[in-house]
Amino acid sequence: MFSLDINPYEVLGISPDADVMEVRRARRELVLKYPNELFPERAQEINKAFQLLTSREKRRMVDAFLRSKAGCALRVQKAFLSDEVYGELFDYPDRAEVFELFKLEGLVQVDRNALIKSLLSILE
Amino acid sequence: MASVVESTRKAMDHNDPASAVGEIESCVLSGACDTIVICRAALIVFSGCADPSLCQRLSKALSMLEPRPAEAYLVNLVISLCNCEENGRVDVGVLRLKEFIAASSRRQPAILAVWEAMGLFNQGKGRDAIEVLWRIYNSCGNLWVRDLLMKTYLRTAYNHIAKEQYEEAAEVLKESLRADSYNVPALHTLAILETQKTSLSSLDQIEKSWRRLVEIWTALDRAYPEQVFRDKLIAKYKYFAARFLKAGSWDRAKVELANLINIDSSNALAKEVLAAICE
Repeated sequence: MFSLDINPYEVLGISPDADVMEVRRARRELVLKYPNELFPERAQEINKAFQLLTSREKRRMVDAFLRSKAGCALRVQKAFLSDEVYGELFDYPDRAEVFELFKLEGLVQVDRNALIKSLLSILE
Repeated sequence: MASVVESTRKAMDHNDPASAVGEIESCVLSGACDTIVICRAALIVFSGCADPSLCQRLSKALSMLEPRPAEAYLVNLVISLCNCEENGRVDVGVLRLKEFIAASSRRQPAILAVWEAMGLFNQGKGRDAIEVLWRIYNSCGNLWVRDLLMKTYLRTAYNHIAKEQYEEAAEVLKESLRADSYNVPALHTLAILETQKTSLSSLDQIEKSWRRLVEIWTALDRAYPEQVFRDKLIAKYKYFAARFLKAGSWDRAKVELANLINIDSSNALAKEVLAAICE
């Protein structure tokens, strides 16, 4: 059974309806950007993606796989698990504010109504 | 003229802040009133009115006062209230306010007891600080004190996190949630810990730890559609859609994708993937 651990379209940064010329152009640009000596893993992915998309038979299997459930899972991994998503979910909320709160020697930000109440109670 | 406090109170009772401000202005101009009395009258106005033009008039009047050095900070603080929006926050110099209270031998307001609690916290006595804050909150019911209390729980949890004591941090957060189940930062921090650091084993359990937070974010998103809650909801649905898809939990993934499309109908990939897994 045909299976993939990379989305070749994503690796080459092209759309699923890109023609062979676009596939070649994308690969050429990426090879220059990620030379094998410096980025061996990335270069390997780029080559693999290129081979998958330039063989008609393999590309047909790639397309069929990406439409399958397992393929869908692969397609969303990068798109849905971006740094932005992690930032929204996993940055601790209010951390800076909470840390600031305990610096008592300087200024403390006090809610307007709470301050009015407190000052009134001082002045009574 | 000491009756300016009484006349201000009366005007405010009659919902007439303009007259109250007029009283204070004439009192300042006459020079017959004590600074503290005028400040008190101004505070009575603020407690029932945040009208910008009246606040501006008060600010102008208060700046004409010539307070004694010991009272200067109080006047300064009251003027800063003139320039503060209705639900805003004011910068308070803790030491200066403490000095004023000590110099005037006035009674200690709750705010100072709060600062004492925070001092305890700074000495590493987090539990003691929480106890003191609970005592103050129970006696005055002040929402700001409650907010501080919840933040103290949060900071205690962050201290545990910094020491990689994740289970302890989770316990503190759960305790704070028993006191306030709507505490969004505590819910959020707990959900993060349960996803990344503690021993919840299944993806279902992990997702469950986000549900209460999602309910609150959804309600907040409806109330404040322009704010950050939608981005947070989108991130949550994307994250769990991707995790459930990877785990082959198609039905759970469908729910996350449907929720995602519901709030972000422009997400073509989500629609495509949902259609594919529904086939």
